[in-house]
Amino acid sequence: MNYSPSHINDRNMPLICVLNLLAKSLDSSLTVSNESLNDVGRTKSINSFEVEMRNWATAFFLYADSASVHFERCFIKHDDQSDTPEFITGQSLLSFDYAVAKNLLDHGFSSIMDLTQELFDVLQHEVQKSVLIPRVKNHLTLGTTKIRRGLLDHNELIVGLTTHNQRNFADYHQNHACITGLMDGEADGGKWIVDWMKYHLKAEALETINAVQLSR
Amino acid sequence: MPSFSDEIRVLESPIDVMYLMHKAFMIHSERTEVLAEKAQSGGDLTNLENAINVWIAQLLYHAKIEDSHMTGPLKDSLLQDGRMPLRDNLIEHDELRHQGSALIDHLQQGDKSALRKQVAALILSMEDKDHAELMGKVEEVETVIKQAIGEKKVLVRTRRHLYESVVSFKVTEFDHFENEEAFVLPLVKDQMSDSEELECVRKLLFDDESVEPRWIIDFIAGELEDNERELLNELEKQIHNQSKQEVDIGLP
Repeated sequence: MNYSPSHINDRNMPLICVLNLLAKSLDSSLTVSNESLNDVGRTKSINSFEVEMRNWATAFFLYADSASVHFERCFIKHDDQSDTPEFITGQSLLSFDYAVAKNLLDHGFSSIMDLTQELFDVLQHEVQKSVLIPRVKNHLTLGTTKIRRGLLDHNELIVGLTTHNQRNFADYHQNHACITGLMDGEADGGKWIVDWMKYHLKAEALETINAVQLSR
Repeated sequence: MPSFSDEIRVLESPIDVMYLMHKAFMIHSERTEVLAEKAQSGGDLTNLENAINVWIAQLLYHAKIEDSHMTGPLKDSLLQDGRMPLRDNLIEHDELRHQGSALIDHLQQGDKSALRKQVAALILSMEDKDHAELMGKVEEVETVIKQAIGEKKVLVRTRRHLYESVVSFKVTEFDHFENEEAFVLPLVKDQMSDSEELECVRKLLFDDESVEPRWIIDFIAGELEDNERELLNELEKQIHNQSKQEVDIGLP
């Protein structure tokens, strides 16, 4: 799955976007959790699926915070608060209505949260004595399918909006500002979320995170 | 009797053909789900479209005959949990028709369907004031998404939504089959004679109004294992015998 184009700055160095890394981790986690449903009752318990999904939800909140920061940086805010923020047109020469784009993103976020809650409702009400019957497994699979679709739709939109505004995007991603912003915002210095991402990311992305950690 | 998800070794009553039919439908559904999953990576959709069309045609005919010839003549009952098997069966059939129709629309609308769906969901979720504003901005919202994500991603998104719709349809179908076997088939066995069951089964397996009346039974037979197909063959013989007897004694 291609999450975003390769972003290159003026020194031809790849720009690291934590949103991209988080989206990859969230997608990978959902895929693994969904596949793990086939092993419930054999090598895994339904509790482990529930723990994985709770971790997923925690990581998704951090993703949503970061997405919000990325989105706001697409627009110029005027000093006069009553003026609508403007989207700076970059090389793409596109412009987006702030209110429409904001509504889309808010709706995307809340619908993913609703879908996640629905999945937890199935877990709470339909799984009895840790036994996963085919009918309930189907509903959990459908739940993760819906969440994954919502996540990928949402991420495509935010990546699309932020990368159309090349100048602001590049500014925010110099010197790992985007990823350190996420880590600095966490009480544990981002240890939990970085470990969680490392668990779900492939080798290439792992090297990226390790490099950022070393540079701090 | 076992469920349709088990191996079926015997038909205790003609209406038990439903286990064979449900099993065949689910095998086809699972195959279609795999096609839809693969289609997310691109490629030609012809096989998936054909599989969905067959799936929906079979289910729509099945539901129609059940409503008119299986549950139609029966008396409903009220179960302790508030469930009324016949009423609920009709509701489930309506849900299958609704989802089947949405799937066909999805295929026909092509690239635009995922965007339309997203915009519609957004507008429905808005409060009244915003709702009215956004109604006038449907095109604009679609344009924002399209421009932001690019034409190529619109196609990927459509395939992703199609896959979700296929999974959702399969889950609804599975639930319906389980409910029908648990709550409706006992009523059929209680209230219909063997002869009435056999006539109902004949209607379920043969389409009297088609130039190819065997399109259902041939599909079912094609999905089953040899031993299960043998059960179907035996039932077909019973149906022919009953029809022959009716002709012999001059019944219409």
